[in-house]
This record gives sequence, structure tokens and C-alpha cells, in this order.
Amino acid sequence: MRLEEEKMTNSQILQYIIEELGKTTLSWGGDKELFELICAPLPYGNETFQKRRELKQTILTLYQNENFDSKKFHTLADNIICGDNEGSYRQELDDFLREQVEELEIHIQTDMRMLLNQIPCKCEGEKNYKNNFNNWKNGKTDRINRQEVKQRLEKNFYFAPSLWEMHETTVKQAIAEGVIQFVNNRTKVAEEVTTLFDEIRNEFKIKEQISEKELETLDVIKGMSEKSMMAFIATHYPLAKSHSQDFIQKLIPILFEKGYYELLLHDVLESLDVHLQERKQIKKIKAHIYGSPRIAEYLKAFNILSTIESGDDIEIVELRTEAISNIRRHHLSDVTVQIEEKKKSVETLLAYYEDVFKLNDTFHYYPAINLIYMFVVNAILSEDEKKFHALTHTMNDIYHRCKPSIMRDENSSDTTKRYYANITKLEFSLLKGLGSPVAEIARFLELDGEEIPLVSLTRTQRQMQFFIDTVRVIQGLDHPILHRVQSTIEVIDDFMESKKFN
Amino acid sequence: MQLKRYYKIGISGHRDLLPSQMEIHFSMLKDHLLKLKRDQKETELLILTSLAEGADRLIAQVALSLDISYDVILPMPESLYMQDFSHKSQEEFLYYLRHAHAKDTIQFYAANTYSLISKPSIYRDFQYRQVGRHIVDMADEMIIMTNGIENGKMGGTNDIASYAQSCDKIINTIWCDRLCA
Repeated sequence: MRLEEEKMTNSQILQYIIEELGKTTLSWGGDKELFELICAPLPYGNETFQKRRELKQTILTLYQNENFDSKKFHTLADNIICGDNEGSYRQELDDFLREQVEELEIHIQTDMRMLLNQIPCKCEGEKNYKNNFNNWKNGKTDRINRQEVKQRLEKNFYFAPSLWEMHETTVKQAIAEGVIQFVNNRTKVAEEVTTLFDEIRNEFKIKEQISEKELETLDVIKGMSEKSMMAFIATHYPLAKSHSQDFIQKLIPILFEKGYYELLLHDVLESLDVHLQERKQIKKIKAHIYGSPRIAEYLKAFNILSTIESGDDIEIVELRTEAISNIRRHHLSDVTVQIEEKKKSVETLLAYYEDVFKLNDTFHYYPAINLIYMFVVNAILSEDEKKFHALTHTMNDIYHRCKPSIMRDENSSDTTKRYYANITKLEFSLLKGLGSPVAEIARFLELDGEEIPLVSLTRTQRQMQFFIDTVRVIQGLDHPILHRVQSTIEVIDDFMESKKFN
Repeated sequence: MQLKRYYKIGISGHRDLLPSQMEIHFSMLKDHLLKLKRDQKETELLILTSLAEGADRLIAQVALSLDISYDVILPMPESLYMQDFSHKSQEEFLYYLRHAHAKDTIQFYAANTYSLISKPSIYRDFQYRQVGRHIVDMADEMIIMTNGIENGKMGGTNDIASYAQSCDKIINTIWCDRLCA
């Protein structure tokens, strides 16, 4: 046996690797891919996939930040996968993500570089080596940089450096085994990366922006009855497949104001991408729907409200008041709860509302009116004359304290705030029995009612109806206050009918 | 008095299962329920079905043979629902209904009314979907009898299977062929 036959040349080694690769099931599209297969280092390690969940969680966290520029993220990721200049894009994406994480001011365990490492790259090869290889591959030369090729092969195929000193048969055997392992690893890794990115894309997909056609559709929907809206949903089922996320987001307030709660809950909100469902405004809408008598899932409403991170004092007060109101609805409307227990819970609820009313001296009218309703319920149920007389003093005191918050909002440019401030003031009169509150409410609606969303009117009605039901169910009583409240419900009913008619 | 604890198994499946495969599906369901009976010693099994033709009734049949209770949840008032079935099928429906542990009916969805769902329509489909979802919500695990072909139909088996998946329910799939595949 001749000595030169015992050791393989660089050229022979490469040739043999190509032959072995050709035996595998892996397909490639041409020389460029072949070069990358042989020479590019594996861009990622298997160990990173153990952190897939963590990675997705990190991205989800970023997506939850309203300032997160998801389009930029996807553009940069796409550039890395498809572009020629992946090095600079990789750096750009890295900088972008670090910036976003810093902005969130949260500690994220995952190294952002891990994300970059998981994006499949085309090749990391130096230009010289690429030329060298291509020249050899195209038969322009049979010389190839010895050191470079061997180092790359060692890295990619996990060969020991001493392999090159061994006999041709041993080298060939090692190459054959190495190629199989290389292809398997690479296919597996590539599949996992593709799956991961597909998952991320599906989970946090960015649909194209709302189209002109969709905007026109929204205009049509504004005038649709609930029945027609059902037909629309059925023909575009499921919404997420036929419409952009922008469209779905814009559809939500339209249906909410119209009170199409079931469609919102079962057809629209669930078509939203996961990260959008986590938004504060969406959670508030969801909680409101669960807390409505039509859906009547009060504990679900309470649970959602408990997960919303509140901002300023007023928001804390609003969220807590609504949460307590859901507990109130759950407990007092539960037919399995004994009457005596319900009476006790009225006192507990009173204490809860009082705490929120006094929270940081906010004295907001929202917990205030709820507190008043509970005081009235409590006084009526106790059938204690003294308690009832003391009520006027309590109501005056609470009204006096929440008056600044009413004054702040009663002329607000925000229709909803303006409505609630004014209606609360009138509800105080209604419960105190001063003047002719029912007529005043009718007048207020006549003058300022045009812009009031139906959903707000329904909320007021719901509050009043609940008050009547609670007193009647627990005590079976008939009280003059109940008549006044009942008349007000009818006034609002008439107004809503005329509004729908107009 | 201690309340009974139930392990609830919901069913969703095609209405037009191949008659030639009924026997094998019967055995598969039976084996599965027997296994559950063995595993769930602390609790009693309860099947949730809407007694549509095909899978819904097959599981009721298996339940009766194993002396397992089943609750019937109807997508709409009985008189309306029966219009879905032929005369013979109506008799079968009433037979299984008589043997049910309890019966409940889903309320009208959104703008639906009696007259709106009295004939086959998209409005009726909403009722089918709601009953399917309600069963998923109530169930501890779901049995899905499907050919796996997505047809995008609201309230269809695959629609309900997707919903069950999104609710992270335990799902046992029995693959089966349909008459009109």
C-alpha cells in the first residue's frame, strides 16, 4: 500500500463528504446550499431548545408591552432568515430586543442572544473561504486552505483533530458516521427552529393592517342588528381567519356599545391574538360582559378584575368597586344562599364599599353610589326606624364628600364620565326622595342623552333593578323608594327605545 | 348528606358515522369507559351528550350497556330539535332521552328566537355550537369521534374539538369515517 493512499488529501476529504451527503435523504438545491451544509457551523445547539417555553414567554412578555414594535421584530427576524447581510441584521435585532427589555424594566432570565442563536442563519463563512471553496467545487483549482477546511469540518462533524492523521479507511468510516449524525442533527434542529418560529408567528401573528374594505365593513356593522351581526359572523367564521386583528380590535367597542355581549364573548374576543387579550381595556370589557345579567358569570368577572394592574388611584377605585359589585351580584342573586346569610353579606359589602370609598381620600362617586344603595338596602331590611332616619344624615355626608369628584366630571368632554357623574347626582336625589328625581332624570336624558352609550344606560338600569330585586327577594317588602326606582328604570327604558328607533 | 362526585365525559362526534364501523366504535368506547371506571374509583362516571344521531347516541348506548349515567343537554327546545331527525330516529332519540339521568336545554344564543331557529339556518348552527361548548365546559374530559377533516363548519365536530383544545381539556380522539366524507 502506498503512503499517499493511506492519508486523504483535503480535496479527497471534501469529495468524500459530498458523496456521503448525497447518500442521505437530505435534499439541497445547489452548490450554495451544499457549501453551507458542509462548511457553515451549526448555528444553534440542541440545548437551547430546552428553553423554548422560556423563549416564547419572553416574547409574549415583550408583546404585552403596548410599545413593543412587533412589526420591526418580525422584519428583522425575516431579514436574518432571508437576507444576505444577516450579520448586521442580527446585531440590529439584538440591540432592538435589549432596548425593549430595558424599557420594560423587568428581569428576564433568558439571554436575548439565545433568540438570535435560534434564528436559522444562512452562513457565517468568510468571503475568502467561500471563494476558495467555490473555486475548488467548480474545478478552477484543486487547492484549498488546509487549516480552514479541517477546522470547519471538525466543528461541524465533531471530528477529533487527530482524525486527519489516520488511515484512509478510518477517516472514511468516521466521515460516513459523522455525515449521518450531522444531517440528522441539522434536520432536527432546522425543523425545531422552523416549528418554533411558526408557533411564535401563529401565536403572535401580525396580520396586515386594516384594509379599506374592512373599514367600510365596520361602517356597515355600526348599523347592524344583533341578528344581522350573527349572520355576518357565521359567514366569516372564524373571524380570526377572515379578518385582520386590527379589524377585530375595532369591532369590539362597536359591539360593546350595542350590548351584543354573547357575540363579543364567544365570537369576537376569542378571535383576538393571545397577547391582545391580555390588554387592560380588553380585560375590562371581558369583565363587564361576564358581570352582565345575560352572561351572569360574576366570579369570572371578579377574577379578571383581580388580574388587571391598576394605574392611578381613580383606576384602583373603579376596579375594586366593580370587583365588589360582582361579588355582590354573585352572593345576593344566589338562590341557594339563605336569607339570613344574605342580610349579613349586605353588611360585609357595605364595609367593602366604604373601604374603597375612603381609599387614599379619593371619595369617588362610583363607590359612593354603590355604598348608598347598600346603606338603603340595609336600612330597609333591618326594618329599624332609627336606622332609616339616620340614613339621611349618612347619605348627605357621603354626597358631600364625593361632590368634588362629581363636579370634576359633570362637565367633562368624555361623554361616559359626564353621564356617570350626572346620573350619580340624580340617583342620590332619587334615593333621598328629594324633589322630583324621576322627572329630573327624564329631563337630563332628553337634554344630554343623545351621545350616551347604550351600555352605560344599561348599567344604570342594572344597578337599579338589582336594588329592587335584592330588597324584594330578601324581605318581600314594598317600599316607596322601590316605586321611584322602578319608575326611573321605565324612564330609561323609554329613552333607550326612542334612541334605538331614532 | 354527601354530594356525589362525578367524573364527566363529554362527547362530540359526527352524525353520519359509517354503519359498518359502529361495532368497532362501540367496542372502543366501551373499553375506554371501562378503563375510566377502573381508574376513577372515587368518583362516578357521568356522560354528557346532546343525543344527536351518530356519536352522541352511540355513547348513550354504551353507557346504558355499562350502567353508566348520562345527562342530556339539548341545543334547543325538544320539539325543535326533533325536526332534525327522521321518524325512526325520533323514536330512538326519545328512547335514550327517557333513560337519561337528567335533561337540560341551552338557552337561546344572542338574538335567536324560537322562530329564527325553527328551520335549518346559520342561527340554528349557533345553538349547536353553544351546546357543544357547554358540554366541553362541563366535562372533565372529551371524547371526539372525527374523521379529522376540517370543514370549517360552525358547531361541527372539529370546531368543538378546537374549542376543547383551547380549554386545555383532556381529549380522546376516536378516528372514524363518515358516510358523506
